Amino acid sequence: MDLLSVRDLSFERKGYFAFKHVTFSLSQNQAINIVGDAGSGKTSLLETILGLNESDSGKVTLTSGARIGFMPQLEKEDIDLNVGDYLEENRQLDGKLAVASDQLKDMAAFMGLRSLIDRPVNTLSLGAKQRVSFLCAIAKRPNILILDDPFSFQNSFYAHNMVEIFKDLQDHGAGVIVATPMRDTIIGSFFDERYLLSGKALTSLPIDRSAYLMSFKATKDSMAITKDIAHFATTTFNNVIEIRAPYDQKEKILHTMLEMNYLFEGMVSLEI
Amino acid sequence: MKFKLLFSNFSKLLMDDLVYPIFLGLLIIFELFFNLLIDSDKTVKFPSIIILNFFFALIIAMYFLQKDTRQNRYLKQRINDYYLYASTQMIVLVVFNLITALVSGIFTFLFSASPAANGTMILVLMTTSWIATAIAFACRSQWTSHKYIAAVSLLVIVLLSLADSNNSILHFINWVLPPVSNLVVTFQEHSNMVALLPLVIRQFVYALILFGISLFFNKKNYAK
Repeated sequence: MDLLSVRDLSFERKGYFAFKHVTFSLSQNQAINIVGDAGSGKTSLLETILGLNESDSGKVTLTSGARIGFMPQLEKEDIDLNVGDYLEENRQLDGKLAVASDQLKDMAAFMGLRSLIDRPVNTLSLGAKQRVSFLCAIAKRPNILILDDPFSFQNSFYAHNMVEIFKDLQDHGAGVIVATPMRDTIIGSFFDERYLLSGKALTSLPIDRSAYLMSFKATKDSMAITKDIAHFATTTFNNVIEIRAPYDQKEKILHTMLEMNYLFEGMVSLEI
Repeated sequence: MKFKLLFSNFSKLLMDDLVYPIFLGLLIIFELFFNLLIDSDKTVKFPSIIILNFFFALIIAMYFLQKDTRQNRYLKQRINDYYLYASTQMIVLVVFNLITALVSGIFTFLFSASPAANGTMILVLMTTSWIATAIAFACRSQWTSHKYIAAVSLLVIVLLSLADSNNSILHFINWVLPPVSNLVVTFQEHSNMVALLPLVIRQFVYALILFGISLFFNKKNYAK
């Protein structure tokens, strides 16, 4: 079932087109990644889908009962409430449909906000603010989740945790749209569809099913890697371990390495 | 819950940079120094306070709406209820105007023994502020889609609000103009607060109509 359908959408701002004739649809349990360089029009596209910009042509159709959770690239509001109160306030906006209060607290802890729960939001770092904004989008238990460049100020650990949360939503029937810059390789393989926004147009990108080169850094708390993983390791130098992971085992390896206290440095597709 | 969140957000928006308290302080200072500076009777003093209240409310409303456009873009998406959002904005400004009217009314030192006259004085100041706020609301698209047309319209409406109602050119369209200047002229002619009561009702109705127009005509610009 299509949750969101975008047909021939164009948006012009101050005499130039941010994007032209964009068409795609989002269905249940689907995750879409829109990649594009800085200034390519990703934010304008997401904001037009949300109705924050008035499109010049085309149509955005939402399924009835759609609840959209949106995480902006940067929150413009000056929020002087503390993190806990702000999250709770946002949770209550959606009444019974929202996630439970305790569940939200657990998610805040999962996103590394436990120690910051009593701090005013406007005193947080950009990365922490972004995580608060992410949890606000999640708090309403959306069936359409739209994230604008959610990993820009996150380390690999929190980026991965974000993916865990939105994958869980996706598994429960939600559709997810994530806009990321082209250089982003952390989560590339988690998506069902990938689109490239370039030259004002949106084109479909093939899903890369090849192997990935993953890089981890050992810390003093890291355990010795298991035999299974050692099998894929290609180089170990200066506490950095590189692993050539087949597509279908990438997630499992990532989980295991994080559990063994290795820091995830990034990954690249070997086809690039 | 949404109302509470919006009410506190909008109140903070007005108090954040201390613009409202500072303007209110300046208004009080002006009133306290009025006799010293201008040395005139109440037929000059009260109309001056009315006009001052009008501009005070207009500037505060414009400041508020401009700041709202800049800061609350994503809040609008989260609330996703235009009528609740816009009406809460109006309620917040109406409450702040009420405070302004009470404070500036007290510092006019024009209280008399008649409670009706005192009440009318406060109502005059209050409805004048509401008209100014409603004008700013009607032209709020100057921060979104009608940058120049809305700004020029605002200037024209303000000019017409304060234009001399005895002017022969404006005589036939007087009923359609905001009755602020009418209020001033009537007070100067009668020097009686209670005589302003019919005009207070007219101002109130006028402000309501302008608020209504702004509510329905700016819906398209809500999320911009």
